[in-house]
Amino acid sequence: MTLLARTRKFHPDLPFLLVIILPAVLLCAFVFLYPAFLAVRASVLGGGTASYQHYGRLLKDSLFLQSLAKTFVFAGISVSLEFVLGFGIALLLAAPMKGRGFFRAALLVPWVLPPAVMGFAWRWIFYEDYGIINDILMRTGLVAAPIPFLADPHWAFGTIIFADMWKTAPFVGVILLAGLAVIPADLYEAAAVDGAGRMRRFFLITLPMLTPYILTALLFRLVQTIGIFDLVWVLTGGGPSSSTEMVSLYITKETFSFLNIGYGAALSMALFAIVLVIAIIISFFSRRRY
Amino acid sequence: MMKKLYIVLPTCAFIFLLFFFSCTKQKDEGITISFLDAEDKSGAWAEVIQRFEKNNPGIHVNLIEGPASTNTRQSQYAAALLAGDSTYDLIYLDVIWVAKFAEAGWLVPLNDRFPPAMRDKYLPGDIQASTYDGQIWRVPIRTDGGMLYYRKDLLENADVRPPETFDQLVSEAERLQAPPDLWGFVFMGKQYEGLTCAFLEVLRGYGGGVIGSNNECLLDSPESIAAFSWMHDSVFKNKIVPQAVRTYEENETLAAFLSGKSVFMRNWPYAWKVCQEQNSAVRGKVGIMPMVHAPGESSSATLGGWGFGVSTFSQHKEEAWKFASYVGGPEAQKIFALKHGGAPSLKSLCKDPDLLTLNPHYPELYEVLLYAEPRPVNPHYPEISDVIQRHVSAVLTDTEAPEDAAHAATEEINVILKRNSEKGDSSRG
Amino acid sequence: MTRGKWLTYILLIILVLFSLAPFLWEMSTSFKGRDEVMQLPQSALPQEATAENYVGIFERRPFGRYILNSILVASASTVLALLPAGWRLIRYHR
Repeated sequence: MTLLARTRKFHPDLPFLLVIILPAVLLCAFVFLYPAFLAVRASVLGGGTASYQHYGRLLKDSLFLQSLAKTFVFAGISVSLEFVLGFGIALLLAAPMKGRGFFRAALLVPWVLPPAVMGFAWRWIFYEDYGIINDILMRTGLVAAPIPFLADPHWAFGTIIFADMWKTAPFVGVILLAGLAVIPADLYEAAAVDGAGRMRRFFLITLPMLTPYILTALLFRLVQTIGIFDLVWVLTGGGPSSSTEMVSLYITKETFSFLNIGYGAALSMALFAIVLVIAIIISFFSRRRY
Repeated sequence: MMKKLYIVLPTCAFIFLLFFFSCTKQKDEGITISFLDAEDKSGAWAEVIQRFEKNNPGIHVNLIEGPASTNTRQSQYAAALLAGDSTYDLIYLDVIWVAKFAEAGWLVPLNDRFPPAMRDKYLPGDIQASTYDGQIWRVPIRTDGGMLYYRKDLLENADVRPPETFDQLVSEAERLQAPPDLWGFVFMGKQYEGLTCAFLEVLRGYGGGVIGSNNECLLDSPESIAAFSWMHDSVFKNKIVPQAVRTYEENETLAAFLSGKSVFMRNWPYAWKVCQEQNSAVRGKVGIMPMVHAPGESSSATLGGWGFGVSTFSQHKEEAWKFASYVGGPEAQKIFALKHGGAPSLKSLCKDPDLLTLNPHYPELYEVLLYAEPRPVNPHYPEISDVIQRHVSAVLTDTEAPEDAAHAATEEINVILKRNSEKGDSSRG
Repeated sequence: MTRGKWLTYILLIILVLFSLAPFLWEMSTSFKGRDEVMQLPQSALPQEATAENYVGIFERRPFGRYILNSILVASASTVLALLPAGWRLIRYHR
């Protein structure tokens, strides 16, 4: 049997399908796989001779571990807030109403705008000297002195969380909205007839049926937030006293400022492994539902 | 199957055509050399390039405008050079990048093209900072040394003489300031390279240093602790510095002083010209002097400055060198000094009458620049600077006590020095 | 409208304002001249609206080229990403 006929046995359209995805696969291989391969290679060969010294070093690198801790705390808080807000958006938009299309489009604007651009916008808004927020707060007398949104380590951390949550809550909202839309209405009616109140209906119907969507959104958001770069780089550049130095910033510094390519590659591998583990855990939970 | 091909093939063709057309470089008549610098707000580059192109037909010079932050531009250069890319023919080098870039093999050694007789014409600090491992790698074009700016009018009104010591600066600032509308002292306090520059002036003004002659770190000396403490106290004890400085780079510091919100400012010489511009609120009210120091010590100015290195990957090295040596020459440097402000690297220009009218403080600036101290010339300087930035920023945010910061910084820098002690470590300072 | 619907609309409008506020503020700032941007107190609408910033970005940078680059990259990657999905639609929902 020819190769073509054999592939046809799997699925009649398989040859055609392969042709279609060929350009994309080639591009991915060129833009992603090859550099990834080089990175793995650099992480081991960085010192000239093959060695795992970089990996040993990163386990003891307190700055790296601290940046990981900051990233996880940031991700935990930011993603939680996104889900709360996103869920609220989804609930508000779930029922059909006049102007729904407009609301949905308007609420998606933060997600659509480029993160670096919004970073500059926020920097300007939160600026202590000319920023509009401090201006309003001072003029209305709510505060006596301008709040150091970006100048104080703790405030800066909170500002980054706020800016990230503002941007990504609509994304979570849209995914959860899609999930809410497929819950059959008669489930709620049946439950109401059986005497279930709003809370019980929420916990027994809404949440379980939304779980796959929640997990999907969680997977996306966690992975993206752990790798956050643009927003932080533009807003604080690592922050007062390294308070907002996320893992990706640390790796960038090692690779491009210090030119420790091998070590930077090893750090990237470590981050990749961590993110992979998280993705696998979440996928594991998703699979069980099905 | 055939029907689908009618859709698939044109789509694929369309995509590949898109890539093809976006990848083709424009056809050149003549040679183009490119380099990266910040936005040409003053138009100095435009004029210099125009003059060069007029005298050198067939060579086009392309200034690629990048972000204002030097850290970001350094990353852009590094990213291209790591890939062996020939996008940049010339590298507009900050003084602190020379050792690192030379060590990485990205620069063409210029010893033959830039002989000692030529080098003598430039300020010694600039030449020293452009040299590494026995070779010279950079033609200095502009030089910088941190200076102290002050509001002449405010000091005169209160009948106060400009300060000479750290304590005098503090007491005068306390007396003259009226926060939150008028603060005492502003400088670049964001966690970036500029913070190291400002800190080193305080450190050396107290008589301290970073790296000793035995390649060990000196940051846990009493002088160093005094410097860390002074930085800390200026924000939290004497309160002459607003907390907002922790977000300031050069532009923000200058903006604060320009709008009349501070009595004193530490900034580079270019700020003088901006202060004297038409729409400046402090026009004619500004004085400039060397940075303050501890009694018995001398004032220190951290050497900054920019110059051209030739990229190893450039495909037009000869033309690139032509442009570099033109910009390193008196005509171009004068244009820069007139339009952009700041100080030229050529010794002869520091006494030029046209420049003196614009900058009456030039003789004093010249003295300062003659003795301006470079930051440690070491290929691992970025890491060393990062340690300093971290701890000074920690002190400025009150997350670390000055003594702890000094000790921790010393330990970390010693680790870096030990890890990398190999040839070429001509670290000083 | 029921009370529930009122509440929903009010909350939605608050959220929309929250979502659009930074963007609208940026738009307002883009029409302000250099001096006005740095003055306190800030005003919601520019007092002296000027188009100098918009003119500036096209004059000082090859901004048109930047836009073209973005369009090229976005179109190409979108088409490439949608091809497998598009195939399925063409195949099964004709």
